[in-house]
Amino acid sequence: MKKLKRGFLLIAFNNSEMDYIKMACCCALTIKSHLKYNHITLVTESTNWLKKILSDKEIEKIFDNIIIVDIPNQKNIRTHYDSPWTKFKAPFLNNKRANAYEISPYEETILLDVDYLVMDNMFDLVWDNTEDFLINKNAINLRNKKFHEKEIRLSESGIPMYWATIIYFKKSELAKRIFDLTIFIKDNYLFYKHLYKFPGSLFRNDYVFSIAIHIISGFVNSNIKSFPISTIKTMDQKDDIVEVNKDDILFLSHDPKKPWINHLVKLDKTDVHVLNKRSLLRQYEKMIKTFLN
Amino acid sequence: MDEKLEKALEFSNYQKTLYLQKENLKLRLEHMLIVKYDNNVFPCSMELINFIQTCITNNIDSVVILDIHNNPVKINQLRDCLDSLLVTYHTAYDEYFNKYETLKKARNVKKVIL
Repeated sequence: MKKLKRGFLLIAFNNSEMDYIKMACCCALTIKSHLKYNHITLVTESTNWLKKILSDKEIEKIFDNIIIVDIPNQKNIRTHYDSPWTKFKAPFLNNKRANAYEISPYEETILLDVDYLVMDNMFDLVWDNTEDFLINKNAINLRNKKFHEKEIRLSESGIPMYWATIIYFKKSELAKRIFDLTIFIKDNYLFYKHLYKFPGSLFRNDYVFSIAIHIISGFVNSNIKSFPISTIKTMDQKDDIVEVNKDDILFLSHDPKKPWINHLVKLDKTDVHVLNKRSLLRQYEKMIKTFLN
Repeated sequence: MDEKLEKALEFSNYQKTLYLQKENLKLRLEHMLIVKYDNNVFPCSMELINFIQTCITNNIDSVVILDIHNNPVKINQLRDCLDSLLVTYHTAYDEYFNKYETLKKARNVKKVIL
């Protein structure tokens, strides 16, 4: 396959509860709308559903390239919230991320979660980077407060947690070694869970990449650099989206201590990681209309 | 509910929303002040603008500064770099100022988030 110079890699596998393909469309539409370099590759198991929800012309406008891979053989159930009052479980097929280095057709790749909306042009600053690998370890919520304590370190006295939400990598030795490690950690997840003492039984790429970075850095604090905007603005699962416009998003942000209280928060030209996935899916039709036409 | 209490709660809601929007404007400003010049990325600041201007005034040809990752990078075209910094600075602060002025005039939640 001919190597492409630079682009975005989105990995999406649908399940019975969540339409990750639609989320990938939302993410890709915001990339196309706000970035100068916006070549996008979708990695998925089939194009059947995509062809049902969009015309060929629309698909061509949203994705430049589609790579078909096997659906992950994974039993990973995640608890989700949609507002503080609705809780549900859904399969979470996320273990292909470790293979992104091999899958990516690009010399330089930005690997994005499909629930990440690109509303400013920060990623245009990233290409031709002097660093081979970039990942962020800071996240704040819509109220500009640091994210939950358990999302800062893998355990109370553990290593710092990196967010695998956005990753930049070049085809390079460092990036290859990190991704090779993530595959090894993925295959021996239970061992590393006990070693690094992280909570729960959910397979999380954030943990896998944090451990890989810790190992590659010689088991000391990492020298791996972050993106130019080093903090990921993250919408909590219990928050909601009111509306998405071309350059801004209006949210209802709940108060964690008083969940019945919500405040309106408008993010203007600011990227955001949308953890309440159903709230993003509710915006799908409107986003297709707003961004595609 | 007592009318005064209701008004106070409404005002508190407005104050909180206003505060969050002001914080978001500041963050947006920080983001806009990140500049890419000659494939180097660094934060634009008044200090850097003054420093580059001082170097130009003193006929210094090139300077080494720290990029956003604290790596040293050499800037050779100082005049060109200064122009780029000034554009970034003005664009960012003009947007910040205009949006801040709009927020200052907003007297209820609806206007704050418009």
